[in-house]
Amino acid sequence: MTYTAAASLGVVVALALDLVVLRTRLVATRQWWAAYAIIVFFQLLTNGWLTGRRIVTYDPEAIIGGSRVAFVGGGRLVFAPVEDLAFGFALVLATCVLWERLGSRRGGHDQP
Amino acid sequence: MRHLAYAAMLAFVLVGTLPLHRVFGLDLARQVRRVVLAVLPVAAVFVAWDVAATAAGHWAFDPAQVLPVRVLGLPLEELSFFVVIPLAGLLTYEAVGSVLRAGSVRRAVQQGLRGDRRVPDGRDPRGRGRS
Repeated sequence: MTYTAAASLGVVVALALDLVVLRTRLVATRQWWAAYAIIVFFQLLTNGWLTGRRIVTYDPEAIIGGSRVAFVGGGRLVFAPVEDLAFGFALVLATCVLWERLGSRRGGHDQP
Repeated sequence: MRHLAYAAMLAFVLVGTLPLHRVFGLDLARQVRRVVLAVLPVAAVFVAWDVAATAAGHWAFDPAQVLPVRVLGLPLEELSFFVVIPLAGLLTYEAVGSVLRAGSVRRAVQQGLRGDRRVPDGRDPRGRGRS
């Protein structure tokens, strides 16, 4: 499986976890999207560091883009393969979904 | 110093997000079990993915820019990534939650620094359906 396919699958699994399996429905909340907006900004910064400096390099066969590490374009965004956005989204959403599922706070009440 | 390039990025993330805990009066430190149970299962899946993708050559790490320690064939930093990034995500998510409950960043910080974590009655703390 290419990174493109695996990253897409990651997003589908994370969304299924949120909407179907655990029914936390984070993606229907303002809290998730406001947090994600902040997270994705810093992801672009830190991931740009990892990929722009060639700390991490990618096999052109596994991604939409090629071997050229462009700031934007050629399947890349701030040096990183666009697939990384899906990877990061799935990673953080799945974690926050489990966090909410394990939470004691329900329906707006602060329980001990 | 070049071998610290990846580690420096993780340090930057921690320096930027750990203070949220104090500033917004978050309570993750009192719910260590919940944090661990949220972070570890997801990290396990992503580390397995990372190990497989690295072995398959989907991506590679520059030995000159990471520490020499390898775990499961991954640089220690790459393994730490799956704890540091989700933790930063949780801190951000909870900090945003405190801002939405307080109504403004200013009030969230005031309440946070006072250690006041009241949730107004009848309000969904996540602002569900109002996005």
